[in-house]
Amino acid sequence: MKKNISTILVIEDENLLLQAITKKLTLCGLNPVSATSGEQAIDYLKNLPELPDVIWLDYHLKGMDGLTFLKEIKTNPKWKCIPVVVVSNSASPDKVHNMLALGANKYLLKAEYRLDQIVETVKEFVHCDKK
Amino acid sequence: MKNKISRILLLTISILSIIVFGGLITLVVKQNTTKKITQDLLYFSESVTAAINPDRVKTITASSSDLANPDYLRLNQQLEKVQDYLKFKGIHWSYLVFQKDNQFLFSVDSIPEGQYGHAEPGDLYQSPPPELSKIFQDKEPLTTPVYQDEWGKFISAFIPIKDFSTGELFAVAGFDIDYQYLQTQIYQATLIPIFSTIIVLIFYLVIFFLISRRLDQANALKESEERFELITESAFDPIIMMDQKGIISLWNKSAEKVYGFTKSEALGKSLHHLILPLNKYDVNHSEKLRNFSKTGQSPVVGQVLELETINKAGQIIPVELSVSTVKIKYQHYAIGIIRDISVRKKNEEILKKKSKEVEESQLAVLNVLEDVNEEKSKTDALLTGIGDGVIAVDIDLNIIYANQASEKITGWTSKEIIGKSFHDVFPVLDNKGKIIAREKRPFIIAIKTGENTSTSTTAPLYYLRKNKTKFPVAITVSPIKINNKITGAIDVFRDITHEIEVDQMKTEFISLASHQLRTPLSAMRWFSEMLLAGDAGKLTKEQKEYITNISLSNDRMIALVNSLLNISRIESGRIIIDPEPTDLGNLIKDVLIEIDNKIKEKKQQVIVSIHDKLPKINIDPKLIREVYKNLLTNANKYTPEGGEISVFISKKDDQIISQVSDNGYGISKKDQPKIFDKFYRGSNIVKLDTEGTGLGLYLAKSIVESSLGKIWFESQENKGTSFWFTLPISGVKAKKGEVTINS
Repeated sequence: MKKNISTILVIEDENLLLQAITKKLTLCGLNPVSATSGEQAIDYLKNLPELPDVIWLDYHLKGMDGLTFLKEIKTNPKWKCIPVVVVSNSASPDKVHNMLALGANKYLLKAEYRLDQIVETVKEFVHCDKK
Repeated sequence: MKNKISRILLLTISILSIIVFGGLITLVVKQNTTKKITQDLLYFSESVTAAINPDRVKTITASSSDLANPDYLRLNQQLEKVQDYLKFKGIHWSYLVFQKDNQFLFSVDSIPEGQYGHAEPGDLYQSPPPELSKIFQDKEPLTTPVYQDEWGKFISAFIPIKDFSTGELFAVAGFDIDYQYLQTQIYQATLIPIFSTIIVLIFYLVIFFLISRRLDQANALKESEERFELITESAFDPIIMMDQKGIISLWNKSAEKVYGFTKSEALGKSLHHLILPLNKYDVNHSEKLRNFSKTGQSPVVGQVLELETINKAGQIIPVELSVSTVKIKYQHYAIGIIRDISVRKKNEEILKKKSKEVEESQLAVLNVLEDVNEEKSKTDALLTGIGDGVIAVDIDLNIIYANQASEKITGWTSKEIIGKSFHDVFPVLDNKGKIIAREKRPFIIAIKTGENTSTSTTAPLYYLRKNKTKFPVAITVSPIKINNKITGAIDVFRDITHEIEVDQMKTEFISLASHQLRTPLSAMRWFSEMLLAGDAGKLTKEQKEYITNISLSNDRMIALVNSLLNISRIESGRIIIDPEPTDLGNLIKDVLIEIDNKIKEKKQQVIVSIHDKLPKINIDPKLIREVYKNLLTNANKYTPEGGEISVFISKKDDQIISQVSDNGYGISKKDQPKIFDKFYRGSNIVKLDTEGTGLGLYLAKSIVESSLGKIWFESQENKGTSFWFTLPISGVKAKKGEVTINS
């Protein structure tokens, strides 16, 4: 195995939440790469030496929103296989429906879950992918 | 019409005759010219040939040896000389032809050597005219018609050259006229007849049109006279004309009837003396007449006069007279149209008598009208002042009334639309701009069913404004019933564009608030979670306790925000109801599993009893689950440790009844009426538990009612509480919307 630490690309425009998420991911033995906007994340995807194992995506973002970002990812042949977990503050049926239809693997409501629960979900997709 | 056709026929025949006649003359001239030229040709040819000595001709052999023959040379000179003379008659070719072995050979030619058409002695005549053979047989002079040989087109005269004594034929002298020369001569000769024909034709046409115009005018005049007579004769009123001396020159049938004088009696008499009473209108009569004869004017012209006339029997006839004048051939005439008004005069008398009666009754009617008007203006003011559009139609859906507000809303003034079919002016559209089916239009429904019909604001219909823009409307149509019979309907409508916008904003607010409020709550939740997990190092016991408190408060805040959002969703009317066949027993089990920890914490006993043949019912499980969750959470929270909670689901008629009971603190009598109010909490439990939001029962009631059910309770303080709610077995209808609960 070339790398034994899985990389998670976290896209979250709320600085405090981003801090919490990256800290928790690190503590759980994962390698978080944080982006505060969709544009920045796309920039990372283009320039990172290796693609992340999972993308942690917020729906509401300044600039490019989660929906547009997901469309970009899923239309790029190189990136479309990366599992995406959407973690958002609102889960109105049309948003959930649209995101899952576009190929998001999971849609979680932030306030409903503890951080470690979300990290567990993300980990599931890492293993999934590694298989 | 008939006249016109015969005239065109005459014109055509005349033109054709002139052309045919002219053509015939031209033809004759042409033939004569040809004949004359041919005759001249023969005559001159014979004269010239007579001068040729046959003895010389005798010596010609029609071969190149002739060139050495002095006779040949002499003959050649002779022909050349003669040629100059013949030129004037158009004869440009003269030559001698010999016959040898059935062939025609030239020798002696007037055309000098080297010029076009010159033939050497012995040259073969390749394509001679047939007449040449004839003359060698008949030996008599002849002329040919036009023919073509190797040199061109000609007519020719052939003259035999014979021995005087024996009559032996030596040769034939040929004289040719170019066909072109002949043609030119013919053209020149025919020019005169052709031109003459054209001139005659033009002259004829001019005369013809002048005459036919004259005829037309005469006809028109006759027609107009006939018409005038017909009008005057058939006129109901007497029509009389007098000349400038006052003598009657026209007297129609009505005049005969009214005055009793026949036409022959009246014509030629003085009008003044015939029908005006003696001495009544005599003042200045002769002076007026003189003035009229001079100027053609009179003060009575162009006016309607009322005067008295007398008839043959001497009776007075009151008439209305209108006078106009006309000038015919330097003479002025006055035309009077007379109306016998004796009947009218009589009627006026009767009317005068009756007018008083009428005036009295009028007064009475006016009084009644005033009352009616007052009532009408009240209604008018009401309809004008109303903010909603009001349009009334008759039974055929034709618009009979539209108030001011409708003008403002739609852009159509009532004048423009009254009398028109309502649906022609206002097509009823759906949100995609498509015209909806006839039987779905509110007017049609109202008139058909005889009941009031309203449209919903959540799925509104649209009307078109005059400027073709559409707007959403809330419509209420009420049928107009007179004596229990529907005679039309009234549409009260309003533009709900703004209401829809506000609704939209409400929904957007929910979405925004859920995001904005939850973000900091999530941060607090996650950081306290990490602290408690020791992610930032081990905590002391006291620190742990404080952080736990923060975390619990935060959880309450999250629950509160969720409740508020749910209420907001339900109140906005935009919540989705998405029914599916649901097993209520399973739903309850799920909820109990979720709160199992809390029940165990308080060592409470839970009894569940479900009707054994409970059918699955069509409800939205997400919503109903929320009701069970609220009721069971309350039972758990407001029942002391070791208490008992029971759930019964039973079936009664077409309802399914759910009951959730506990033997807990109960609700005091004082609080019972307000227990379903928003944010209201029982006074006894506020002291025991600080966590509640006061929104749970309000939300449960909202959900049950939106699912067509009822909710109620019975409670006794310190004894316990039972809540019941019903759901129809038939289930609930699906409803479109934008939000679901807990999202």
